[in-house]
Amino acid sequence: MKKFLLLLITLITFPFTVQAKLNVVASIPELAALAQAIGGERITVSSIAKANQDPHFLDARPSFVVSLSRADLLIHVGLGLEVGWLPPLLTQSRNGKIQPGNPGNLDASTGISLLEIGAAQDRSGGDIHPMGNPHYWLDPRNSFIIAQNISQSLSLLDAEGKSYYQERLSTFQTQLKSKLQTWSSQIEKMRGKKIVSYHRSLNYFTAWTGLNVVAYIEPKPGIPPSSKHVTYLQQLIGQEKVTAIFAESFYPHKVPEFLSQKTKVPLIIFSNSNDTQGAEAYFALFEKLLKEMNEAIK
Amino acid sequence: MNHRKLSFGLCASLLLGSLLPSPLLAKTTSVKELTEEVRQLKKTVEKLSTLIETQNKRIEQLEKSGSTPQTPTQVVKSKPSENLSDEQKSSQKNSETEAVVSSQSENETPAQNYGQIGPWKYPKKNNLAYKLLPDISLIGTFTTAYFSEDPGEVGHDPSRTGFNLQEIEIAFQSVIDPYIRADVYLAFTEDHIEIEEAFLTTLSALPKGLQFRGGKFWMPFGRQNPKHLEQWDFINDMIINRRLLGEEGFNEFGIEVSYLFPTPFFLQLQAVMSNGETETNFDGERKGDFAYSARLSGSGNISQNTTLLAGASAAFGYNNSGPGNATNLFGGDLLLKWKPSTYKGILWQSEYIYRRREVPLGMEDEGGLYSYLLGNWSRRWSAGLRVDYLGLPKNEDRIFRVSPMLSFRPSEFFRLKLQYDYTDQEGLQPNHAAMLQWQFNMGPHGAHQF
Repeated sequence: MKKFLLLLITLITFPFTVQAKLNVVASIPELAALAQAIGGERITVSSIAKANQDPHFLDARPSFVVSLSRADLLIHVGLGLEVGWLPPLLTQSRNGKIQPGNPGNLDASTGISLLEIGAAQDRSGGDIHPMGNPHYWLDPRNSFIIAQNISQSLSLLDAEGKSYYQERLSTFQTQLKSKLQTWSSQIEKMRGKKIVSYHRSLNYFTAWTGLNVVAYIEPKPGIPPSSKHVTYLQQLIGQEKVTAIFAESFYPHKVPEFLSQKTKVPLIIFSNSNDTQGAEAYFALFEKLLKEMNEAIK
Repeated sequence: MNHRKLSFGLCASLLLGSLLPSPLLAKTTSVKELTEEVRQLKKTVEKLSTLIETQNKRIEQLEKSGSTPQTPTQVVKSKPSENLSDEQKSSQKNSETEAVVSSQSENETPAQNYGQIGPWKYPKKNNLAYKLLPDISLIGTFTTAYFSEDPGEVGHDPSRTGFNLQEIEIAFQSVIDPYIRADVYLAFTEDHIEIEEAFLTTLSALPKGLQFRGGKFWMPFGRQNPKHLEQWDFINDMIINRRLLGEEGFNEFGIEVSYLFPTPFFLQLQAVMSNGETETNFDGERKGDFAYSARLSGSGNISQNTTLLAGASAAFGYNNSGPGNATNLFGGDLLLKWKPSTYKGILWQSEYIYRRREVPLGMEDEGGLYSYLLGNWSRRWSAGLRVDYLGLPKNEDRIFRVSPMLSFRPSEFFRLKLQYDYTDQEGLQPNHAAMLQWQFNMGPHGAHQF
């Protein structure tokens, strides 16, 4: 009987002893990868948006409510990127820990200086984020700050692991620094090279690489290209001697592919990987972008 | 920056101190030498003061260029530069001054700070101000319609051949404090204003999984009933919702308790106690004739892109056909959604509602269903086909309706819908209707529950 009781107690408490790890939910895979890089073994990480999904227009699913209801920390991009789907999910999650204003709710843009703040006074220019361009994770230098934010939040929620997180943070920052040094020779060749991008999502990437975005495939953010605009782009690409066309994998490929075919300018379709396991997953995104861009220059 | 100022001041005072004793020693020397020395001293002081001025200016500039008072930035900022070689340090310094220059010029090209190693601040004036106003939104829905026979005013459906205002909805939404949020929706129709919904929702401070909602709201009965006009996939409401839940829908003052089960999949129970003020169903005249409703819904992901949502709803209350005459409502709904991307997807939604009313001469049973398919093949275009059927179990009031619909969405905030309705009602001529709806959205009100 005693043995049975003991077994029962372990069975009941088992889920709690295993659940000692912090449960981190990120809105996009890049933030999940960075969280994994800092949190290491002390956390479990998942991303709401998957690699091939547009984080602006995610289709809210009931399963998101379930994962948010169990999260200890929610890391989101902020600046209105997730406004189309995250707020009602947060309310439905009934999870006080991750509501805005609590240590479990991390707006990863905290402390990053942003591009295009107050760029739009109304929506006549398309769907622009008035608080600033939210695609800041595409400049790897911003990850010094994002990683720092994540480390601070994790340390707040899990004081025991503070030194662990700090150690991993400095490891990550050293890694990032050496990566940046490796990449600096590659981006040297890119300075001033002209590109066309689908959405205004590469502005941080170009701030880092010195690439010059001469046009967007979307005439205005959130507005799909008209045939007139495509003709205009086709001319412009020839005139401006554009080196490459960039598009995220979740945008329709038809127009970028058409432009690439007509103008013989290489098309770079990129997506973040579904792999959210640490720094390498985050770096891989840039490795791919730089590699393809360098091939395009050749 | 402050310690730099301090150390500089210290240096200056030391310098002055070492110069000061010299005129005291010159007591014995001639006046000429003394004046010469004073002149030199003056020069040195002048030099130092100009130096201080330029240094102060430089400090001010540097402080301006890094004006965001965010601690994380500063903490990281110092770190990466520590281990850099001198050459890199000097290059960083150079670009820092570059940033000062570019923050003054209006035209910045992002390429100005390319290639930098270490965290970067984009040259930018930071004028972000947080507002304390609630989110205020307005959604206007107008419809031009043709009916072979005008249906008359029913809920928010278009009522006549010609131009119709279906609704102008104004929404105020805000978090109130760390514990609750509030959502208020006012509806303006052609001849009246109503409080469509106004409720509080708890955000935290309750046992895990529990949530309270209080105020006036659409009862969580089925999938169509709680939806606002702008969330409807078709121009008009479903026949069963109009006929069995009330012309204006099932919307009452009350309190809801809902519970999210700690299951690995989504499972939620909602229970509502409300006033019982819905015509024909729950308008019992006795004091305390409340209405009680409940809904259990579950959902799982069949694959990465496919979601299944199933729900069962029930409601109980008293009608005004006689004291103590009860009304019972039962409903079941099923949603299957395949959404591989923002630009492509198919949705299939069906719902069955059954009503049993106690009336003076016995029981009145009515039931019906709707089912529709909705597909989108681009960001802007989608099309749907809906079938409505009333008369399950068999009833004299059998109605059948089929509605194809085409929707065009130029942007996230503007939508056009074109719909044709063929209605066949027992004992009546078939009715044809064609409708064009346009709907605009001012303000931030974008997100809704799934």
